[in-house]
Amino acid sequence: MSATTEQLERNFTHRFLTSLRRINSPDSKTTTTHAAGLVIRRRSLRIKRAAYSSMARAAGSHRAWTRALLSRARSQRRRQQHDVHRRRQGREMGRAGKLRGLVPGGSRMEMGQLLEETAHYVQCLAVQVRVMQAVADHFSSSSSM
Amino acid sequence: MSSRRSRSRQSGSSRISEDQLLDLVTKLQQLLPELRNSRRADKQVPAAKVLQETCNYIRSLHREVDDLSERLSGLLETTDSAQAALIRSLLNYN
Repeated sequence: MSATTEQLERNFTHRFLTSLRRINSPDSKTTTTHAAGLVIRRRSLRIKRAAYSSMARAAGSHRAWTRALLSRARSQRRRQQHDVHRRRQGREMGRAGKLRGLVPGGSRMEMGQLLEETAHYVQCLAVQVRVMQAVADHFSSSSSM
Repeated sequence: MSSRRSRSRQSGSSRISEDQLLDLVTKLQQLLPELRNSRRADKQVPAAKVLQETCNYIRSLHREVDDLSERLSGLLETTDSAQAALIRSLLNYN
């Protein structure tokens, strides 16, 4: 693992665990009138959003996809639901359309930038999954002691 | 890596060259588990194939994040003060 990837992993892990602690704190828990399944589902959505936000912050604001992801998170918190694909540029490669939908901010990028941002996004996603897996394994093994 | 701005200021061409595009596609190919280790890794995989595999890979990563989030949520459900102490110790490790 390169030094930068290690740093990214550490940075993400710290932010993500901090978020988990906040999500898990007693004050943040909903009232017990909700069914257990609903509580778990709602919390899983918070965990998922925390994972993506933590990674976007850890990766840094010099990347377009991190800025797009964090601004989308902010507007979603204000309950706006737009996923508009604006001004699609550079349709040299037919498959790029699907890729644009998968990479945050992809619909606004030129082809070259899209490919660069995609490469970085993919690497960060892989780190995110690896860390989430390690945290889940850690909690699993602890609870079975 | 130098940050290359796609917006140009002087010349009219805002698109990057074909060669640069192919370089980026090759770089992307190296990141994909499906294509990285295949015996065709030394050959140039068609760009459309690389983009297709990239989409598949990103979707599978998104699904893993979904699954892991649900798994973590269930695990936190069983958490108690001991788990909270674990989280603290993990944070101290950093």
